[in-house]
Amino acid sequence: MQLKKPIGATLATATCGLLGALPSAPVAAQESPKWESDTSLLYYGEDDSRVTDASLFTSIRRVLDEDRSFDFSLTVDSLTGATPNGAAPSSGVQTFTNASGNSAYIIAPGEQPLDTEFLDTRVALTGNWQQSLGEAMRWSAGFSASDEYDYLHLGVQGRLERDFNLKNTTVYVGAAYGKDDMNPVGGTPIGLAPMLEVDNDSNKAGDDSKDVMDVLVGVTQVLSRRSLIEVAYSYGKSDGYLSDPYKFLSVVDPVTGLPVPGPVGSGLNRYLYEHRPDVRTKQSLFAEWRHAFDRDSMAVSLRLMDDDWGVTSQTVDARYRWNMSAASYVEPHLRYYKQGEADFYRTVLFDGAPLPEHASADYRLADSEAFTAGVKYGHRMARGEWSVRLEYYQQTAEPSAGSVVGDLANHDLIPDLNAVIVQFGYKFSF
Amino acid sequence: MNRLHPVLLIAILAATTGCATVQPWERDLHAREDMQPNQRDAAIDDHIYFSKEASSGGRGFAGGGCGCN
Amino acid sequence: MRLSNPRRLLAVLSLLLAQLAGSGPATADTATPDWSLLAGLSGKVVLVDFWASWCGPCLRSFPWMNELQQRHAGEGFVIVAVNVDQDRVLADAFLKKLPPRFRVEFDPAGRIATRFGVEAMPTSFLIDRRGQVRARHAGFRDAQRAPREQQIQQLLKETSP
Repeated sequence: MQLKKPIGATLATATCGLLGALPSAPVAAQESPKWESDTSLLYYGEDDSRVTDASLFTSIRRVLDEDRSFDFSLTVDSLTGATPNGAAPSSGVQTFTNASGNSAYIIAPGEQPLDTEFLDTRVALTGNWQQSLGEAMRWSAGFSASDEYDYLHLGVQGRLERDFNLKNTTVYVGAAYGKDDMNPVGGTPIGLAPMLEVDNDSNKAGDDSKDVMDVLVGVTQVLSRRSLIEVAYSYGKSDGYLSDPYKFLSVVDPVTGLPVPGPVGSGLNRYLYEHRPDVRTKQSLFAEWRHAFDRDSMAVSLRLMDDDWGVTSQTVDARYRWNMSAASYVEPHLRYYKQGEADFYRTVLFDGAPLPEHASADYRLADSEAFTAGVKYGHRMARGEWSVRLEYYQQTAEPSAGSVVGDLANHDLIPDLNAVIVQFGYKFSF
Repeated sequence: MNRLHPVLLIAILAATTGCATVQPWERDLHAREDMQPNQRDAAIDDHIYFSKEASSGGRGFAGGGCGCN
Repeated sequence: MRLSNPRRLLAVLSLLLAQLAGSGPATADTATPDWSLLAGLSGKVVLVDFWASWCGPCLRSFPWMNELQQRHAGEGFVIVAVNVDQDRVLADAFLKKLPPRFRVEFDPAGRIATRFGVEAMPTSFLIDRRGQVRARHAGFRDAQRAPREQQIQQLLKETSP
C-alpha cells in the first residue's frame, strides 16, 4: 500500500517478507503436502474520507522434498481516497495545482488540505528458492518486483541459517538489495521549489530513482520446553530520491499563521515542495519472546529503531493465542507504537526565516503515537484453515515545535487517524 | 540507538545464561503451529504500518519449531 | 549524524552468539543403547526408531516402516518404534491415523531416548544380529528409503553368531 511512495514500501515489505521466510520445519504432523497455498483479503479504511485500500495477498509453495522448496507470492493493492498533501489548514480558501500540473483543486476554509486524486493499483511479485545445506544449515535466494503507475521496484535477496546446540540455537543472516525507479505524474519537483500555476512545470525535473540495501542478523534461542526468544539486528541504507513528490509545505506568516502569497503570476499561496535528504541509514533491534502454555500461547515483541534522519521509534506488540479447541482459536492483539519526529520535519515553514536545507510536512515523520487493538478468529477444517482478523488503528501526531501560531491555532493541524482493518484468510495444502 | 538498547541487550544476555538445552524429543510445544511466527500476518501488518509510520521490518523468521529433520 | 555506533552493537551481539553457541551439546550418555529394550531380540536385525506425534517426518516414515516390517519379518527383521510424546493421547491419535504393523514402546520421560543418545527427531538405530549398532539415521528423507532398505537387507544376510 504505497501512499505515493518514495517511502516505496516495496523493498521493505519484500525485505520483511523474504528476510522473513525460511520454512524451518514442518509444524504439526500432517500428510506430506507437496503444495501449500495461502490467500488473504485485506480491507483497510480510514475515517473522514481518507485512504481506503483493498488488497489481495496470495502465495503458493511447492515442496520438492524435505530439503528443497520454492514459492511465489502475488500482492495486488487497490488504493483510493484522499491523503494529506502537506499543506496546513487555513481560515482562507486554498488553491493547489494538482500533481500532473494540468488542473487546480480548491480546499474550502477550515478544511483539511487533502489530495483526492489518489487512485493507485499496485502489483507485486516475489519468488524464493529454499534449500538445505547439510543437516544444520539452510539458504534461500529470491527476487521481488512491484509495479504501479509511477513506481517500479526490482530487488534480490538472500539468506543463510545455521542451527547449533541440538537446534536450540539458530543464527541467521540475510541481505536484500533493491532498485526503485519513480516517474511521478508531472515530474519530480525540485526540492523546496515553489508550487506554480497549472501547465507550468519549470519547477519539476524528470524521473528519479533510489537504491535500497538491508542486512539482517539474528538469533533464535530456545529457552526451555515452553519458550524461546528471537533477537534480530538490522541495518538499512537508502540512497537516491527519498522525498515524496506529491507533498509540499505551507509557508505562513510568523505572526498571523496565514499563508503568504506564492510566485508572482501564479495566483497561489507559497507552497514549497518537500525535500528530504538523499541518504537514509537506519538500524533496528527487534526481540520477540514466545511462550507455550499447555493449551494456549503468547508472543510479546519489542522493536527499537533509530535512523540518521533523527527518527527514533519503539514498538511493542503482544498477542495471546487462545486455542479454544483443536479446530478453532481466538487471538487478541495489542500494539503500541511511538515515534520521534525527523530532524527536518516541519508542520509549516515561516516566511522570512532562513530556508532549511531539508524539510517535510509529511505527518508520517512527525512525533506520533499509535495504538492497535484487534482480534483474530481461526478455524481448521478437513481441508485447510480459514481466519478472520479485525483490528482498529488509531494514530495521533504532534505538530513540530512552534508551529501553532496565529490562525493555525484555530485548526487541527494533524487530525487523528482512525482506521479499521478487516482481513480474511484461507490456507490449505494439497 | 535509544538509551533503552543497552538495557535490552543485557536483559537478553541474562535471559539466555539461564537456558538449559532442550532435547530433541522435548520439542513438542515448540512444534505447535501457534508457536511459529505468523509470517503472513506479520507481512500484512508491515505492509499497512509502512505507509503510516516511519519504521518498517526488523524481524527475521528462523529457528524454533519442532527441529525435525 | 545521530547514529549510535553499530560496531558496539555488533560486538555485543557476537558476544551473545558466542555464549549461545558454546552452550554445549546434549549431556546424554551417547555410547550405550538401552539393551533392556532389546531383550529377547538377539539374533534379529532390529530398527529402533524414535518418533513423536508432532514430528512431520515421523508421519512420513510410518508407511515405509510398515512396508519394511511386512516385507522382512520372515527374515528376522524387527522394528521397535519408541514414542516420546509427553501426552499419550496425542500418540494414540497418531497411531489411530497410521496403524503400525510393528512394536511400539512409550518413553514419555525420554529415558530411553537419552540412553540411546537421540540428537534429532526422528532418529533410528539399525542393530545387527549380534547387537551392534551399525547405522544411525537422523531425520527422515524419502530419497533415503531405498539405500536404507538395502542396508537392512545386507544385515539380514549376515548370519547370527
